[in-house]
Amino acid sequence: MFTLLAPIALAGLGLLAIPVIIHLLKPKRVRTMPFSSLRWLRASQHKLSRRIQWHQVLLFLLRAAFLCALVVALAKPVFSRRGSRLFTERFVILDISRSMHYEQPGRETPLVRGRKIARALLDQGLPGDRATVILTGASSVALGPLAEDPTSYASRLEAAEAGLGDTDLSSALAVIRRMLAAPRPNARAELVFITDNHQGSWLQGEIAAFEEGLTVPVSVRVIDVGPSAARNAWIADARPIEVGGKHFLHARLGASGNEPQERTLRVKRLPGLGDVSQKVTIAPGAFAEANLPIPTDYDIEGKIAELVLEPRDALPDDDQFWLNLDTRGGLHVLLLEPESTQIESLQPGFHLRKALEVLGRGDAGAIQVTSRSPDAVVASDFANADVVVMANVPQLTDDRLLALESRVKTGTGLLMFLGPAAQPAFYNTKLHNPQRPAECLLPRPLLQIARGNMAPFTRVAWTHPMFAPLADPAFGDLGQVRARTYFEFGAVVPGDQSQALAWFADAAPALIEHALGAGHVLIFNTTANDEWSDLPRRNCFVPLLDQALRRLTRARLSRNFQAGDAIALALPGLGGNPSAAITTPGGRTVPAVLQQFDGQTIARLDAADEVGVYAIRGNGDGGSMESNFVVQAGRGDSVVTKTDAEILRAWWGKVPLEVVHPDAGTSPDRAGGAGRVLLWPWLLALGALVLLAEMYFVHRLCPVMNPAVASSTVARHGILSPTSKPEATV
Amino acid sequence: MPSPSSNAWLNALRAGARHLAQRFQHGVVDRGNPRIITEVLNDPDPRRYLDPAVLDKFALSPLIARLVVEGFINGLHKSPFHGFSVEFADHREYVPGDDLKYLDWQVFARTDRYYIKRYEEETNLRCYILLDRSASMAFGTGTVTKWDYGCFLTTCLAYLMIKQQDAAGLSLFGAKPGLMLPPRCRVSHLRQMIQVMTTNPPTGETNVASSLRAMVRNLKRRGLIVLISDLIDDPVETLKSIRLLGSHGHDVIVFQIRDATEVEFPFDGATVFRDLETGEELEVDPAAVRESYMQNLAEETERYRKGLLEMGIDYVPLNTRQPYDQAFSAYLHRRSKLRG
Repeated sequence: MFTLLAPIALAGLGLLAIPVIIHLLKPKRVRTMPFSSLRWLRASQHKLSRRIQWHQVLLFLLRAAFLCALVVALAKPVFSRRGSRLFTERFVILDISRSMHYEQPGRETPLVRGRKIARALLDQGLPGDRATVILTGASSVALGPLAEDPTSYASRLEAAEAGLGDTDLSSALAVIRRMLAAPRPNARAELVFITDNHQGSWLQGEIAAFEEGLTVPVSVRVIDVGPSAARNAWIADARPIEVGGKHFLHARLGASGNEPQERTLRVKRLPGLGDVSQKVTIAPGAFAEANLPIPTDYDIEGKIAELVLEPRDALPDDDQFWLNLDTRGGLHVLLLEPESTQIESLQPGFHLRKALEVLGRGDAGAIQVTSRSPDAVVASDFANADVVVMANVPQLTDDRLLALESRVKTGTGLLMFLGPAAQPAFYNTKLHNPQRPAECLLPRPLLQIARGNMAPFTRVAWTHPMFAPLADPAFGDLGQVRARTYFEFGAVVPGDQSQALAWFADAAPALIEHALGAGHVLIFNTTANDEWSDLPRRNCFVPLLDQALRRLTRARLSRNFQAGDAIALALPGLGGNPSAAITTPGGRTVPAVLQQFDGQTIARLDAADEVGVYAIRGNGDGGSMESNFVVQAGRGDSVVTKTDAEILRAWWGKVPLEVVHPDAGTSPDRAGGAGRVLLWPWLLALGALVLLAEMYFVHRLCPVMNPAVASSTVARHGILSPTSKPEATV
Repeated sequence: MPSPSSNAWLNALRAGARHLAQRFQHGVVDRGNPRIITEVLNDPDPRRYLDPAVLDKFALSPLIARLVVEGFINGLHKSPFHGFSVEFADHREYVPGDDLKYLDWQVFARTDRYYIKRYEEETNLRCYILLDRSASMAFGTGTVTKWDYGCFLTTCLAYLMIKQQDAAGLSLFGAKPGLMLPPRCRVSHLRQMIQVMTTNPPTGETNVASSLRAMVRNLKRRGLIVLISDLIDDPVETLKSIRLLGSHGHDVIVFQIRDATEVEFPFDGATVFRDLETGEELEVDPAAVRESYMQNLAEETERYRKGLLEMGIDYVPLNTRQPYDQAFSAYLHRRSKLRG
């Protein structure tokens, strides 16, 4: 296949006519000489015209060939072998997540290496190709549209820094899919991921969704710039506990690598506490636990402890954990379940209650569970609850519904388990608002009930804080959950900001997270008991529930957030005309965005880009307040073990996948373009040869055969030693 | 001092010269300035007036012709070449009608008889000067055109002929025969020849062959034919016609006049050459055709030379820059052969 990259250059052939036209129109500056007779001139002219005609044709052909070669070269002709695509749409996806900041003595970080490789890829694109750069962390941002000169993105590429967010390379696929909505003919797409390629970087479901309906051939190249033998340890979680009347700071520690790591867990930021530390041995693949004793009489009011692992390792962000000690004791859970049976084990909330009991035994203040039927719950029950759990609730009256919604908006969490009693008509009309899906309890409408035939959990967002602790193999059987029945949900509508954290067989969301005001809603598309799925009987159920409760109460109780989370805090007692300011760990003061829900002031901070302790101060007609909240670095990137290449190829299916390791000597800078031959360098070379031939013909051969050339300056001065003697001119 | 009649005649010649200059734009030279002629007459070195460039300052006149010829003769006397003599040779008895100026009064004083001097070269040789007046003769890149050169040559040859007691006649031709003056042996006839030449400038095309064929019928008595032309015509036919002249018992001298630029072709740069006879134009790169042109010219010249040599005819190629003595020498040489 032959094509021209700049066909407009062919207009240059028309310019060849300009000198001809000028020559024809220009008045000839010839003198007129009366002469005695033309008889001798006429005979000479006739002889000459007979002799030089073919030379004139050859000279014209040579000059025309040179100009044509030059013009066609400017049109940039390209030849590609039959069947191969001509142009490449190259997407350079640079991972800027937290793990790309892995520090090794004497070596560049993966991000620095990745930037260099990305820059080289931008420089090595072939003419006709287009490229863009996508920076990917927890979300993806394209630096610009596909461009033939992507070097314009170089400056922003160089300025890219690793953030605190965890890796989600699959988030780039949605961006790429939008850019490939109207592909060029004869184009193929090349996705080049520059990443440390650790476990948890990819979501299988997102890959499948990307490939579906794609009309452009795609190839994927993963350039693994991460260390080949990475190791990391981190503080996964910490909480204050009370055991036998003694107070401890309970920490869960994780590690990845090939060998156990010996570290010291130390408590900081607690004045008067002295040195509280403990040596720990953290084995890869299993969580280690440590309990740091806190004196019972230690005043924890307003204090925030900082736990650190020492010495710091290559990823230091997850070696520290801030724990707000000043949390109200106990957790009040309001469980709403219909009175469907007197048999306790068959009640919708049976497994929930048992799980909450287990959780309550280990925490300071325990978990107080209040069970009510949907018809018996009163407004005060909602007012006292930290978390409301709906288990197979058919419907609620409007006043109860209003009270529930109001509480959620002020920071109370809602954990919703669906079930056979849930009436779609009620849920879709009372809990769901299709016009404003972000401002209601149910962001997506319920459709019919589907029989899943033991549908597995798929597309689990393993990097989500909900599932991070489930990396522990002892509890990590969430992927083995099977569902017999589930609801099908309606499509995502504009304005819907909810996120599906897991799916049932790619057919329906299994878990949806949704923020409403200062509160959060978690919707399980299964029953709280084992009627629809075996989740309650899995090892992961209790830790999953624990994570769910923590997530739902972080704004109200723990005030513990992760980097990248949208932070919403209730500021009680401010009254009218509230104002608030947030001080970051680095000392910056940023204004807080305030919202009012039922007289309650909610402060929002959309992007917390520093980890550490934040302070918030509020003022209003009703008074003032001060509080703290902490932002942790994400733990999704803490597991630095490499993704299995075979598994990754299996996820990408028919899409060719290549994993490149620069450390192994393979060149990551190959720009691609196989099967394509650029013709214009050859045309330029050919034009140069033709020009040389023309010059040789004019100055060397023509004086012999064409006396007209004998008068040329070159011939006159004998520069090229023409064979005919130049005539003297008068 | 020139006579009053000469002054009037000179003025007429001056008018004719100006007419020539305006027509052919070869530069206007105020020929015939009486003061200049006076200077010439008093010039101690008359031979320099053999140079056409010098003569160009002057209008045609018998005086100029006399100057030129006498300058030539003086040169001959000083040279080892003795081709002829103009000394007194013999007497014959006077018969009525003889010119009294040739009466030998010394013999009459001694003998009381009237005798006429007969010079050694006295002859009844009739000379016909055939002058080409086609438009091509008007060509000239200097101040002297071929026509000017031919006219001066004709005038001086005629004077020389008359001085040799030969009868000189003139016939102009172009595409066909033109004006014709029969041969006469008087100086006054020279004036008529000059007037004819000045009032009949070159024009029209050339057809030497047909003109000569036509003229040969009018040449009743055998004599010496001096053909003055640039011979820009078909060499084959021209040679045939010249041969025809010889076949009628005439002796022929051919003077071929060419301009220096016709011979050297020194032009440069794209040039449109316009034929003076036909008006045809031809754009030529002179540098490109020079070699071929020179070759063609040489071939034609050689053809004429060989052809005329085979006929035993003197062929004198002349250049407008050449002095006239060569022409005079050729004439005298031929004349001496005729006398045996």
